[in-house]
Formats: sequence, C-alpha cells, structure tokens
Amino acid sequence: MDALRIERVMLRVLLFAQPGRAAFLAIIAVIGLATAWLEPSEFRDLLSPALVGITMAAFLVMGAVRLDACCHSAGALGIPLHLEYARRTQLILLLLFVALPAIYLLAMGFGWMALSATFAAGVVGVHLFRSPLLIWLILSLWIASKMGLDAPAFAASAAGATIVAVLSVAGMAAWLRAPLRSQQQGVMDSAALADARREVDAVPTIAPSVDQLLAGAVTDRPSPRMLWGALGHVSGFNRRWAALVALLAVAAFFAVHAYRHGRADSAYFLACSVVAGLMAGWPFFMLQGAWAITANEQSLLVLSPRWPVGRELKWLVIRTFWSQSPTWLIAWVALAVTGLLAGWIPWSVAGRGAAGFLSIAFALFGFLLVFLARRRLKKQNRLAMLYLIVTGIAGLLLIPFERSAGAWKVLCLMLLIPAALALLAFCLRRPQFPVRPDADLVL
Amino acid sequence: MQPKDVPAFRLSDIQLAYEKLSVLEGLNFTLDRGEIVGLIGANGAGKSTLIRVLLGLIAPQAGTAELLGEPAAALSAAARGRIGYVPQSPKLFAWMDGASMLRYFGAFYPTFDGAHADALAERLKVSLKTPIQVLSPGQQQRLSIIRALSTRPEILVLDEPMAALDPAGRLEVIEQLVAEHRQRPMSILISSHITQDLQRLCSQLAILHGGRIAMQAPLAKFQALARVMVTGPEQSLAAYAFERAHYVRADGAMHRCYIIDAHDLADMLGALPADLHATPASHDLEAAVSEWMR
Repeated sequence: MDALRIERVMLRVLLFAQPGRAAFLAIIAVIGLATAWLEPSEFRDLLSPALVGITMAAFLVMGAVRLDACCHSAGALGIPLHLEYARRTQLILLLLFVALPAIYLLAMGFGWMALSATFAAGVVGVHLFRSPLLIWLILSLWIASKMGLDAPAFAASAAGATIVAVLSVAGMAAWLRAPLRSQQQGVMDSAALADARREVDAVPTIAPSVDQLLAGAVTDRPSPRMLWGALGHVSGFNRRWAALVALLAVAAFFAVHAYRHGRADSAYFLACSVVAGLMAGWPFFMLQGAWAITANEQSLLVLSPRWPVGRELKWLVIRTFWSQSPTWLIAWVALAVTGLLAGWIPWSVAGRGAAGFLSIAFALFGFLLVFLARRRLKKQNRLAMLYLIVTGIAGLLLIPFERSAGAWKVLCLMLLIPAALALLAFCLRRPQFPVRPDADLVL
Repeated sequence: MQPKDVPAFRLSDIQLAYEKLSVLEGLNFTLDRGEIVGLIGANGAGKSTLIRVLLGLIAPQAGTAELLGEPAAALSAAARGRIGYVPQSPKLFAWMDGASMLRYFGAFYPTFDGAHADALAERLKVSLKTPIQVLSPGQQQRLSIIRALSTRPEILVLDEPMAALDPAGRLEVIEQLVAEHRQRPMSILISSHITQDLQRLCSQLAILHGGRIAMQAPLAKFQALARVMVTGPEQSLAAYAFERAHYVRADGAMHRCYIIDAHDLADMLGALPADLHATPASHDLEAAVSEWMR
C-alpha cells in the first residue's frame, strides 16, 4: 500500500486543500460524466464534454497553482527528492484529468470533439496562470472566425483533433518543467540550503550573459542594453523567437485569408498592428519594474566614471525606445510591406496601422518616462495612474478595429499626447536616477 | 590632481529631512587624506543618509558636500573613478554571477583591475561562478567589498560592511583593508556598530548623534574616554556642569552619565559639589560610545 504514498499525499494537498470547492467540482464532473449515458442528442453532445472539460481544467488549475507553491517552498527549505515526486504527481494529474476523461468520452461515442475538448481544457488548465495561452487561444479563435474558418468543426474532425491533441501534449510537456523552475526560484529566494542547491544542480541565471550586455557598448559609454540588462531586465530574452513565430503565424493567416477571399482583411491588419505595438511597448513596463527596485545598483552605476550624466543619460534612456524591441517593428514593417506590395491593404489602412503601432509603443515608453521625470518614487503615484487610465482607455477603444479614420486619429492622439508630455518633462527635469523610493527611508 | 591638503570629503552645515523627519541638522564632517574613520551611530541616526549625501546620491536641503574638492552633486568622471562604495545592501546585481558582475562593473572603470579582483576573491574565499542571488549574505558582502577594491579607489566608503560577516570573515576583510591602505594612500570611511572592528582598523572615530557629528577624534582619544555616573538631588544636578565633558546623558531625575577624558577624572571629582556623588565606570570604548546611542 506504500506505492505512490508521497504522490497521494501531494494530490490530497493539491486538490483537497479547500474541500468545499473540490467537492463542488467533483459533483459537476460526475454530472458531466453521467450525462454521457443519456441518449445521443445535440444537448448531450455539447453538455457532457463541456462539463467534463471545464471541471477537469478547474482541477488542473488548482493542482498547477498549488504545485508551484509547493515546489517553491521545497526549494526554499531544501526538501530532498521533492522534484521527483512532483513530476510523478504531474503525470498522475494529467492521467486523471486529461487522459482518463478523454478515453471515457471516446468510449461513450463522443468522437473526435471529446478528444479536442479534454486535451485543450487540460493544456489551458495547467497554463492558465503561467502564460497568456488562453488570451492567444481566444485571439486565434477570433482571427479564425474573422477569416471564415469554423474552428469547432475543424476540431471535431480527425485531423483537427489530432492537431489539437499534439499541440496540447506539447503544452503539457512544457508544464512538466514548471516544478524545476519553481524549485530553483525557491532556492534562489532563500539562498539557503546546500542540499537543495545540489538537487537543482546548475541554478540558471535568468540574466543574459555579460557578453550580451557589453556588446554594442561604445568603447567608454554604455548602451541601453548595458543599462537595462544590468538592472535585471532580461533584454530581448526569447522575444526574438516569439516575434519570429508570431510573424510566421501572422503571415500565414494573412496569406490564407487573401487566398480564400482574393483580398486581405483591413481589420485583421489593424489588429496585428495593435498587438505588435503592445508587444513592442511591453518591455517598458518591465523596465519600469526593474528600475523601481534597483536603487543600490543604480547608485553604483552613477558613481562610476563612465556613467553618462545630464543630457547623455537622457539620450541613453531615449535610445531605449528603438533598441528594446526592434524585432516587432521589423515584423510589422514586413507585414505592411507584404500587404501593400500584394495590393491586399490600401495605403490609408497601412498608415492607420503604423499610427496605432507607434502610438501604443510610444505610450508604453511614456509610462517609464513618467516615473523617471518625477523627483521621488511615491507609494501612490497618482500621475502615473492618470497616465495609465487615459492611455489605457484610448488603447481599449482602439480594439474594435473597424473604427473610422477620424476616431482612429483621435484615439492615437489620446495615446501620443500624454506620452509626448512625459517625454517633455523627462527632457526638462533631472532624471530620477538612481531611483529614490519613498518607502526606502534608509537612515 | 588636487593639492594634497584638499580633504577626501567635507560636509558643511548639511541639513536634510525626510518629510517631517529631520535626519541631519547642520552637520559638519571632514575626512582628511589617508585617514580611516569609523562612523558610529544608533540605528536610524542617519549614517547611510550621511554617506549618500557625501557621495552626491541625495541632495541635502542646505549645506555643501564636497568630495575630492568637487561638489558631490556634480562630480567629474575623474573624481568618480577614484571612489569605491560598498552600500549597506550586499545583494547587488543579484541576477548575475560574481565573475559577470565584476566584468560588467569593470567596464565602467578604466582603473578596474581584474587580476586584483580574482586575487581578492581567492583570498576572501568567494565563488565567482555562483549566481549572486544564491550566495549567502556574508559571501555577497565580501563580493561587494571585492568589487569596490578592484577599482583601486582613493576614497573607500563602506556602509556597514561587516553586518553579515562571521568573526573570521570580519578579520579577513579588516586585514585586507589594512593591507590595501598600506600599499597606497587611501581614505576610508566605514560605518559600523562593531567597535572591536573599528578599533582594529580606524585611525579616527566619529559619532553621529542628533543629526550632527557629536565627536570626531583619533581612536586613542576615544579609547581614553571615561564614563562617570553622577548622582544627587535634581536641582544640584541641573546646576552642575563640567565644561570639558564630551557628552552628558540624563538617566532619570537623579542621575547623569558624563563622558569625559580619563585624564580629566581627577579634576572632575575634585570640583564636584558636596551633595553630588560620582562613580567612575569602566574604561571601555564600546560602553562609552554606547552612551550616545541610548
């Protein structure tokens, strides 16, 4: 009876820490499984896989979140062999909440749709709080519907179900690496026990190599990468690949759509422009976060003889705008040029796309400048909140892409004006470098 | 190059307050070239603030801060290259390993000596291949000291560098600082609560109390301080004053603790009014300086 004893304990911790919630989900799951015994009908074919898929995904969400916390604690406390047990527990979770329900539904005659539903639910469940998978999934479904593809019907076919299953298995396999990362993070956070360090062996450093940081630095002056990378912001980490994959996916959709309809979809192109702008500007949020917590590192940098002062420092920060993520700009330009050369989008739409892309990226850059232009980093920064509200509203209103050119212009101005004001303030005032947090009254 | 008589740093009439909390009140403090000064003060007295003001990292509300004869707020690149700084928090560039951090940091200093850094790491037993985040606080502190010494600074400012070190580590660091000081002229300001370490290292001590430097003197003078408890009626105590006392602390209505030079003890006892009673305490540096922190 000792087989899988520790795994069973872990499963109890992961799934039944809140017995009321677990019982509720179990009841729903049983109802879903029971409805599979009803006479085949459209109602049964929809209800049963939906109930089973949702509850299984919910169980996996609970399991994955708590497993992360367990592994983090195990790393911090140096619990031996935890990683091994955690991995076996993951496999048991996938068996219980993905494989067995899929087999059950297939056996009950639900066909390929059941396979797609259970596997997709499984991968969403384990990644819900880990990656923006769900957002990408919804976006993809929306894009597919815009292009006239019937995604549910495709998923119910043999080929579609196979593709969904293969992609889901790949996603689940990626999740199997999560305990290692959580445990490593626990070790690094505690910096304590030698046993734990041995178990995770080589603790990875998330920072880029120092060669990468120093590359591009002019002999005696730092580059933006040298600045922000050294403050802990992982400059360019994985984004090059992300941008490449996104570009290929976007180009494929674009080409398929143009092939099917003999023309491209302007709304689709504008959607891509907004997403690319968001991705290009997102690093500035990260930079703001890195800047806010590295007062000591910045103190050391400003005391070094090669550190730029005055205008040079401001110029270094401004250069960050195009040095952070040129890949997204290149990707967007490639898409726009393709669309224009093929005659799929008119110049006016390309112009609107460019305005959207640049406005969003610049507004996110302005968010960083708002902080750098202030005298202190306050606990509650009302100006930054106001900036976020105005630009956030404008950004959200851009999302229904079929807006008129005039509305599009107004929204872009709503993004650009606050960012331009932030840039002006940054240029006129002494930059807050090193950061001076109010909460950090070091006496 | 500045003339030799330009002090390493000079703070004059520094005023600084955080919101309503006054930290430095008309502070004057000078560090002469080649001196090693230990800065002592209670928790929250403003030692780190003082250090950040003198390095130009915080602008005071009034007063002037000069470093190597230049305004601290606008140091030239040459002056910055002659300063080494060890902040209070040792967890610096935690996302790098030691070797990467030193290489990265060295790129900002023309005087950075990588071979010296390696030798220091070996001497102070710091692994340069381990991510800094995973190093123990003591190891991080040693690495921070190695980083500062690797640029061969003329002025070294250390903000509580011994806090996380074990006794052997403290001794090793002190020996290293003494050796570096012997090899080349270097002015050192070190803030610490550990008077034993300061006695081993410093030529002078300075006490930060009430937003000012209450006393700055050679170590020998501090070692010759005496504590005298004076007891008597409240009115007599209030009327009595020993002008050569460095510090007087009221300990209730009936007691006063005087910090005086030991050689003034006979004079003080001789001139004491009849209704007051004096009890000399032990000649102990730690006990004497602790009086300012009570």
